[in-house]
Amino acid sequence: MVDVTLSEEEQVEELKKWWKENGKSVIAGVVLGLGAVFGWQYWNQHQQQVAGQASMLFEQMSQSLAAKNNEIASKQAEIIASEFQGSAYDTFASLTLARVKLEQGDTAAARALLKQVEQKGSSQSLQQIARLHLARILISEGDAEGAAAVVANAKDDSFRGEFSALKGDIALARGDREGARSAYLEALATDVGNTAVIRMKLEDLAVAEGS
Amino acid sequence: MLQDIRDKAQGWIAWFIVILISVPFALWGINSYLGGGAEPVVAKVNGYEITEREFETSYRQFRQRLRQQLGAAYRPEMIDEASLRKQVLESMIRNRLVLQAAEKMGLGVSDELVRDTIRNIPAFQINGRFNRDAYERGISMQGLTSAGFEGRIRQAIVAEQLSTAIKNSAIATGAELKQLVSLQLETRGLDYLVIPAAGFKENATVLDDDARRYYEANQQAFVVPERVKVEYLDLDIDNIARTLKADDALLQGYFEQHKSEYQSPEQRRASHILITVEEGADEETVKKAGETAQAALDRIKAGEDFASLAKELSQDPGSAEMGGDLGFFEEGVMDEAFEQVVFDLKPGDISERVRTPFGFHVIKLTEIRLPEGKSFDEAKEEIRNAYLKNEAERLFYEYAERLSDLAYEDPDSLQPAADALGLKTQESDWVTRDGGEGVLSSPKVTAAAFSEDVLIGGHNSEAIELDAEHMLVLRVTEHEEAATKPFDSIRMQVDDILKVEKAAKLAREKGEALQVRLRQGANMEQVAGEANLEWVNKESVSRGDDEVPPAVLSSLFKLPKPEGGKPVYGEAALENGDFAVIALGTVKAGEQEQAEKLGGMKALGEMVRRAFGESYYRHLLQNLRDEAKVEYTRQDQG
Repeated sequence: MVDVTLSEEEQVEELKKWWKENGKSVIAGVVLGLGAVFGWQYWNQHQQQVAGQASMLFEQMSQSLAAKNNEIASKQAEIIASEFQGSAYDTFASLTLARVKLEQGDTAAARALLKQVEQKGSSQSLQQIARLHLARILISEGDAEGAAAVVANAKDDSFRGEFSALKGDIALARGDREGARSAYLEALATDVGNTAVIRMKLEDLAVAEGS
Repeated sequence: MLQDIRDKAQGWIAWFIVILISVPFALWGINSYLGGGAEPVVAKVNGYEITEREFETSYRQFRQRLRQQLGAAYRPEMIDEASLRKQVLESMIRNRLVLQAAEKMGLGVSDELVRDTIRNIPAFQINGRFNRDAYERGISMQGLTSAGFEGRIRQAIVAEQLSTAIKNSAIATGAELKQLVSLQLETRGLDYLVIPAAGFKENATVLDDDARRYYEANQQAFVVPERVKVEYLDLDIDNIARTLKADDALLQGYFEQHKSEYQSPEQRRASHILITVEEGADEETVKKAGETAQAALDRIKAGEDFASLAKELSQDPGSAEMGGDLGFFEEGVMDEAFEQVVFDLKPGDISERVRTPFGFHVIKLTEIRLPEGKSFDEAKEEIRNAYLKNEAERLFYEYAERLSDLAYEDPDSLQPAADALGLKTQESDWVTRDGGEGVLSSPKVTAAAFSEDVLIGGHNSEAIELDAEHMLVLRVTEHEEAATKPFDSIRMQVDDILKVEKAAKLAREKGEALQVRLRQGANMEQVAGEANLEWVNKESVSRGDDEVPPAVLSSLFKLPKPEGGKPVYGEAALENGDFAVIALGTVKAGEQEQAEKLGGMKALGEMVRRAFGESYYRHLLQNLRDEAKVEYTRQDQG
């Protein structure tokens, strides 16, 4: 935009002319650009601050749990869930609170919390975990059909072995020993926790050869 | 024209341009422009680059930890570098995935929490309190800035939160625990008998063809591994000592220097009367003191008792009360003038007046204790050994250096080195890559013996340092590639294997026949009686029973449950070839009241929770891995 062959006055003239034509849009552009940059930085900072607060509360809750102080831990979990709704810490707190409720015998509350995480948890893996917990509680309450409905929502990922094991438990509750056996076998063929227990359950269903 | 540009470049236009350029730097910093990219990268995790430098640092730290954990058992040459590197890289990738997941979930850490965490790290504390200097020293030792270190702490907290959330929320339902107790504490009623294979082995015969077929099919079991015989020079203190000689004069000299190790010195016991003279006293006082001492001496000579006189006159507060007694002492302890007199007296003698810096003494020698221990002649062999060992120790490093030089200068023989140092070469028996006997068992020795230069080149090895004062040089004299042993030499061995197999098979056949009898309605006692075998009856066998053979126990708990009061029969092949026939009579579920046996319901619940928590977290990691795009950018890492 600056032609060095022109004299200084001519250049200044040129620039003034150019500025008259484009000045407003340049200023608007610069303001918008700066606004976007600062806005974005502010937003990031704000997010981090919020996450930092939630994180602090979560740490306190973990400490309460480590000290076996379930009452206080569940209060802290409730605060996280209400103040930071929809955040990952909300998911963490709900999962943890569900366990505390279960231990206190309030299975209905535990189920409600898990149901929420199952649908809105902040990652697929956490949703899967909520599903497993929910189904296991239902089975322990004798509600095999409810558990089957939860298991039916499971995604096919690294948790598949755990779900197979639950399918075995459900089949057994329905009186389907053959189905239970094949589900347990399926579970044992994958990476699954508590293999010793699953193996015992499987062997408990042994049938005589040829019969 | 250039002048024009320069003139204008200093005007306001130039400033305008400079400001325009500097705005982005101010906002985003210069880093994002300079960027990385130039560094070699070992892997990319969803676009994040793990650089070679980061990887090497982690790897080094991991090895250091390994070395600390293993302690003396650590052997660098035992480590499989490639698999260890792979392991470290995988764990770095896993960590990175967790961080990325945490970031995606919006996990964060407040400055306050970072500060608290750092303050609570014991390495940065002195007397239980955070110390700024210790902190700064600690992080600079790891080559980090404080911002960099805080970043790592932040990451560590966030990663920990994810796993804590999962492990803390793990559950164990009442029904699960109940079922666990009833299964784990289940007991079963057992009858069994064992058919020994030994009885069948005696009569078993093996056909040539069968033996040969087995040999052909299992060649790898009869392979003699690659092996070498080596000739070596073993340099240690004892071996050097053997090359040295010592004449009597040298030994005598050594004896004099180390006399106290062989003899206790002569000791003398004396009493004295001291008339003190202050340091710097005038002549008059000295003269007077001398006269006092002389008077005392005269009285003794006149027959008075030394001890009572010492008590009366001596000005040495320590000994006067004891009648002047100073106890036993050896040469070099007392004042020189005093000592000279004492060691010239005979027991019972009394000295003349003696002047020392303390004043005037009159001394009586009361007792002599002669030297104890061995004389030179008595201890000569001992002295010789000690002397030679001492010399050898002194010479070790010189010898070690000469050994490695000589072995290097003449790489095709150890003889020159052996001759020069007066050592003897030794021959080994066969040594495989797993190591030989004695000094040759060290992995350092095998590594050297099978190194290219020694094995193929036929040269002397480098000097191998076995430990602080032990060195070895070797050369390979014979080398045999791995080979299969000829059939004839292992025929007996094959026969034995096949006989055991055959016997086990016959035992099984008999066991199966007995099971048929049992299913037809005979009981275990009858069947055992007919077969002339012992049988065992146990009312209640638990899963952890340690009296029943493991194979029998394992089969027992896999049998279907008996129905209608009829036992269920099964079998188990024992490790030694014996064969067991099993009858399962009853099954009794574990009782909830017995949960204490498993540590109580509470502990059991914790155990189940932990197991579930860990496996769920593992699945989460695996999910992250499955969803991620991981590229190995270096061939040797993939």
